[in-house]
Amino acid sequence: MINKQHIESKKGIGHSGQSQTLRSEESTSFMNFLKGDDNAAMYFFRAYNRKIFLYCAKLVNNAHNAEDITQEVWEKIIKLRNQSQPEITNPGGFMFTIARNLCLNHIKLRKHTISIESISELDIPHEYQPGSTDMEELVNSSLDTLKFEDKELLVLNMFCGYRFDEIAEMMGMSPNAIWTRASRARAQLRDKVKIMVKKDNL
Amino acid sequence: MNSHETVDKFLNGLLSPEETAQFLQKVEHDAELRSLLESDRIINSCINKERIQLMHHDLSGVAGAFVAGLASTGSIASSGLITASYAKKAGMSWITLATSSALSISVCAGAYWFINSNGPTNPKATQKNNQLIHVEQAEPITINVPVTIQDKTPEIAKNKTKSLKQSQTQRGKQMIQDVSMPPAKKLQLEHSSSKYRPKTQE
Repeated sequence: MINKQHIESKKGIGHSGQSQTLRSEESTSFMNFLKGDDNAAMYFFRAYNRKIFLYCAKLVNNAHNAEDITQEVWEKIIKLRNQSQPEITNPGGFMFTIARNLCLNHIKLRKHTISIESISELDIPHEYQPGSTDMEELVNSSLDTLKFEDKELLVLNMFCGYRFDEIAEMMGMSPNAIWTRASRARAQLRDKVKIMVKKDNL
Repeated sequence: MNSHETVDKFLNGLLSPEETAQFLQKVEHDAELRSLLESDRIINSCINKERIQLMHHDLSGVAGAFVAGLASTGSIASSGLITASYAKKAGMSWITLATSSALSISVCAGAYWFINSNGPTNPKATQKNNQLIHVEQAEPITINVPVTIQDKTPEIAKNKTKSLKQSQTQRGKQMIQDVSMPPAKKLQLEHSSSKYRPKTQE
């Protein structure tokens, strides 16, 4: 997935000029951050902290756990400081990969204690939000029933605010593939909500 | 192109003006399309609501940990004010900063007071002490000293010489007892494979 494609390869991938220059600037400042530049560190923290938190919060369905995971992401990045490492060309993708792996670890650990098959789709645990309507709960639980990759995609798009082409760049996939997957996931969500609306109207 | 794809393209502005016009005409007559658009609207509103809630989640803890992590790498935190400014930049609110600093000051002050206080901290004990002092101050103690004191030094000297003589006689008796003790048993090695095994000779 988003794995080692962030680390520079000699082959290089063709991108539009503007995005490539932006990415190279970001890559340079990320390398400065890793070399000990605190201003660069603050820039990345302010740019990505909330996004990483939102991403984790929706993947693990718990804001407090997401906070811990976000903190762990930064700890891991800070640990890389003053160490020799290859140039990271896609810092955003790199950070989201760390977050993704930590979220998957968290979900795996949780699976040891709760059997997902033993509970119905609508009862899949998600964080209780006081004041949320049935429809909101349905949307949240429907999001949880999607495949992890599809859910991740929708979360990056709808919660973190990334466009599909940006997600494609981050994940190292073609925009068309991302678009198809997102469309399919969205269609599943719509169908579930449509059924619920019909039930309410009857 | 199925209806889901058309809706997605319409919502993402990927339809041409002609296609958009056709789609809008279709929506007026097609209940299926209308329900899809309605469910999409519901999904968006639910997700936006949750997103807003998560956007307001306090991430001061993460910011604090991040600044502490940077400080541990040794590049910042040469002074408390610099650290505080970085923490503010990272997203910690002034209230959190002020509270944490006030808490640390109070803890330091408490520790200083505890270390430097030698007296008992128990209020009952202090009350008892106060009572004693009060009693001592209230009733002055009178000591009756006899007018003539008998000189008892010759008696003490006699007792001393007696005790010395007694101790000397006791020591002499012990010496005699030691001399009359039977001689210690001699040890002889046995002529066997275990030549180090001692055997007593009677």
